[in-house]
Amino acid sequence: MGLIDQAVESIETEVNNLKLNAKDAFDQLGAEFSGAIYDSILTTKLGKIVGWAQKNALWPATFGLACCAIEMMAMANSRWDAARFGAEVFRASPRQADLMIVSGRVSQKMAPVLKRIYNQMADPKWVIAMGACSSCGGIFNNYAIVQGVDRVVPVDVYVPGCPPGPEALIYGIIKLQEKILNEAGTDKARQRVA
Amino acid sequence: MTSEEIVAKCQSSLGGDLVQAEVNLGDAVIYVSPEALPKAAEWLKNDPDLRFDYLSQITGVDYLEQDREPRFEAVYELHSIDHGHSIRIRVGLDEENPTVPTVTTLWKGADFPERELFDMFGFQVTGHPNLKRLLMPEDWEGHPLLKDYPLTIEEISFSHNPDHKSELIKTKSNQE
Repeated sequence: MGLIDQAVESIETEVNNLKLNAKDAFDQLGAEFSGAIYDSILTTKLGKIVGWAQKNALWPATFGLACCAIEMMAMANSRWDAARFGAEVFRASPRQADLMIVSGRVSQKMAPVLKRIYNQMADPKWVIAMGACSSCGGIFNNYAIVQGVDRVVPVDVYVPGCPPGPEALIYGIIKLQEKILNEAGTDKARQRVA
Repeated sequence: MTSEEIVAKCQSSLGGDLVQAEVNLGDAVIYVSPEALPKAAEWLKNDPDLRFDYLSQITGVDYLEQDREPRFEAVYELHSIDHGHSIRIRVGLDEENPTVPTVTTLWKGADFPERELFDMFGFQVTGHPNLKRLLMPEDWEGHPLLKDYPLTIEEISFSHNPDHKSELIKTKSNQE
């Protein structure tokens, strides 16, 4: 064997070693970052993520009708702090709100006003009937009061009580958020904006 | 003037237009027929000794099953700011066609109370400039403060009253 052949062989061995080292290094690199792809990317339906966004930013319309409204205001203040659940920005205009908390008894003369404000709200929109009066008329079983606001607008959550405390209303809002998330991505959610 | 003096003055001046006059629990009360109301009211307002310049309220009464004739009554509360005395006018109204003349020509403030009178009791106020419902929706049927108007608008489905169920059965069988 000549000197040249010896030199060629040693060079080939070196190149092979380098190739193997590089392959090992690349494999190691791949193993290190392969998990990261699964950790950082989430696959979901668009409807679900839209619903998730909606549920965490419920903007109620200011619609205080009676004593329940005092508890509704208390719910928004710092002691009960509905901001923790993304439902504290009370809007004076129904066009900027997507949740209507009917807090109090609805008189026969107020019913058309309530319906009008509900129609002015942008889709999707939800309604909470707060207290016994707006749920079923309460103690006012007479000519002056609408026997349940569900005769005028569709209600999503009924909060019982006379009046319900702020924590009860917060619980009602959490229930509504669960409903929004469960409905998200389904035909029901699609119908709300149709 | 005291209530007794007011009643005595009404009796001497109104005479035949007055059905009855009395002092009830310290208040001067006169009963007039609906036909005599405009004349009596004008005299009460313009007489210099009485000068009832302020009409504080008008209301109605339904004496159904109260053993009292006539069934309806319109009640007017008058005060004199100058003299500091008061009077109540009770106008008995027919059950068939309760009609009372307006007093808006004398007291402008009678406009809304008379509309309320029409809304709640169904009394026809003749001569009123704008007689339509005040409190109830305009397409409402019936007059809620009449005693034969149903007290509840909806049947109670459950109750804490232990006798409620037997009462419900009784009223249902009576209706049938």
